[in-house]
Amino acid sequence: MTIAIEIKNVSKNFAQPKRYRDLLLRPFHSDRVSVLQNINMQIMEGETLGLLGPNGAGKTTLLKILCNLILPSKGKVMVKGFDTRYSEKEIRKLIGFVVSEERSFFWRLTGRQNLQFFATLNNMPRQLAINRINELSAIIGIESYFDQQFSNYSTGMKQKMAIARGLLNDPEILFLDEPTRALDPVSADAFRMFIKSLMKNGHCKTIILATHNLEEAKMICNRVAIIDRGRLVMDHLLNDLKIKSNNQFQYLIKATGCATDLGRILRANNGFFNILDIKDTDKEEIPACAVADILFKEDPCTAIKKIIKSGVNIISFSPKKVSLNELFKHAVR
Amino acid sequence: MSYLNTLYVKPNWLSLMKPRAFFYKDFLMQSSYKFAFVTQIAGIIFSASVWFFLSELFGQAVSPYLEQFGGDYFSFVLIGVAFSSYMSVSLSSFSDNIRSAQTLGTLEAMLVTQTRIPVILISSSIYSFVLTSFRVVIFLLFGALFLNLNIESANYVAALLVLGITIICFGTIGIFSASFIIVLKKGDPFRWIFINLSMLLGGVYYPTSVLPEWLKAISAFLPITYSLKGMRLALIQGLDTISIISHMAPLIIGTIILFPLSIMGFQAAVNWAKMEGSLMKY
Repeated sequence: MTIAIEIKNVSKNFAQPKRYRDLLLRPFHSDRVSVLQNINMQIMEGETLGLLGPNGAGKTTLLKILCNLILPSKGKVMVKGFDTRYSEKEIRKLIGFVVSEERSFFWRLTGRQNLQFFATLNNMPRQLAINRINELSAIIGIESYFDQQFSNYSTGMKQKMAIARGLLNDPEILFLDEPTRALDPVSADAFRMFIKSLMKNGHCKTIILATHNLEEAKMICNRVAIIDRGRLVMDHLLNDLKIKSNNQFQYLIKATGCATDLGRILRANNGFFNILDIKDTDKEEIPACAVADILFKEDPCTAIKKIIKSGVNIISFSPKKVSLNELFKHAVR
Repeated sequence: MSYLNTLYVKPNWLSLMKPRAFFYKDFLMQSSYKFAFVTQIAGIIFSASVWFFLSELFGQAVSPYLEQFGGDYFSFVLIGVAFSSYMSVSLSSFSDNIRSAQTLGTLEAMLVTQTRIPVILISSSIYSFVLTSFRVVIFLLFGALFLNLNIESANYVAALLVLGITIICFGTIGIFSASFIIVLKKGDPFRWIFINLSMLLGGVYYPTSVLPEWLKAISAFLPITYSLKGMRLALIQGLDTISIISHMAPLIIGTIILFPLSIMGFQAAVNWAKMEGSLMKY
């Protein structure tokens, strides 16, 4: 399998906006904020990578670096062997970018006129563009409102148009930036099925999907990478991640006392586990109890003995199946 | 490489495919605002009429300064006002189009296509230039047919040549202006300086010969001074092409030097914005 995208030691920092006082006193000094830190990844041809992370994690910045809309502060990105910094022309032929921003169309033109314009910018001759647009409108299901002004489209229609535009030049690599952000659950599911069908029908060979929705990544992707505060904190094939989740030792411990006291004692034994959540149970319950959601780093027996020795009166102790969502939460904690 | 990519045309400036697409897109968008078009034409007619009545009022008083241009103030000022609009559109259209694409969110979508940003910049201004030319033609036609604009002995070939050089020269300044917009987003100093100095010292409303010597020296550095002089000599006096080109030599030399610099400056501004991540910010 060949490498489609190689990200080598990519870091990115942005200048902070200056106040008037700083402009006068320190005109050449700029405070910078780090957005991405030393990201290293290889994305193989044919992979569907879900780039996950909470809001502001750096997903969109990374996508824009891959598309050469932003240059990295350090490191480099190779797309099919081309350095994005120096081979803009070659890279544009290979990629499609579905921008989540619905304003990125000309609202006073029809859907068809919009796509024809963008097809021309992709060097497509008129007849080829017409055929391709007709083909895409049928695949994506936008035929019925294709000749209406774009301003009349619903959010779902606009999103479909963005996908059609991203696929115009039949790209080998498709970048999707939070494509279902503005869609209702039914439309979002339909969209995910559509992207899956694209993969099956060979319309795209590599897809990178930036999202903060793990369920979406699970449906579409075969590999998941999690970015948190600019760092790559997890990068696994989805199947490996499922196996990993099955091998996690996550337990619910119910003990007497209040959540604050239980938390204090558990944190004193912190080397053996991570506390995911602690809360008081029903206030009517006598004696007062608290429940702790704990992810053990290894076999829980030793840790439990330690907890009991610390004076915790455990009422119940039950294993809990770790969901991928919880793994995600744990990774970005 | 995908099958579709093998069928693509190579980007070829001779085919003018992309500039045509931009022009058509802008035409469709602007023509959807039907009433705006009518008001623009009405504005041209009102403006030409105002200058006609003003020249009727004191036209004879200023004619000694206008001997070089045939002595008729109405013809002088109408050509000045009409062609100074090329300066305004050149200085504003490049930067306005970039800023508008940033605020509308279309810049990002265009930048991920197989079109380089200088092509986007230049192509997106074509409609403004064509519309300005249309307005100038209406302006001059209305003046000639109804208000005694004297362009009977005009050398139209020379006038077109002057126009071409003028557009390239002002376009150069417009591209510098767009570079400032890419970096600063708002508050472009180039446009402000050029428009105000040109209107004051460039000979739009009065000949530069009325200025004191030290202001004449400044007006010699303004492109519009040469452009309007060349245009008036071509349209009013009907001077031959070679003589007009010799009058415009400083403008031609300046353009040859500055045009590549403006493209390089713009590319540098884009790279700076890509580095700062501010290309799409406004």
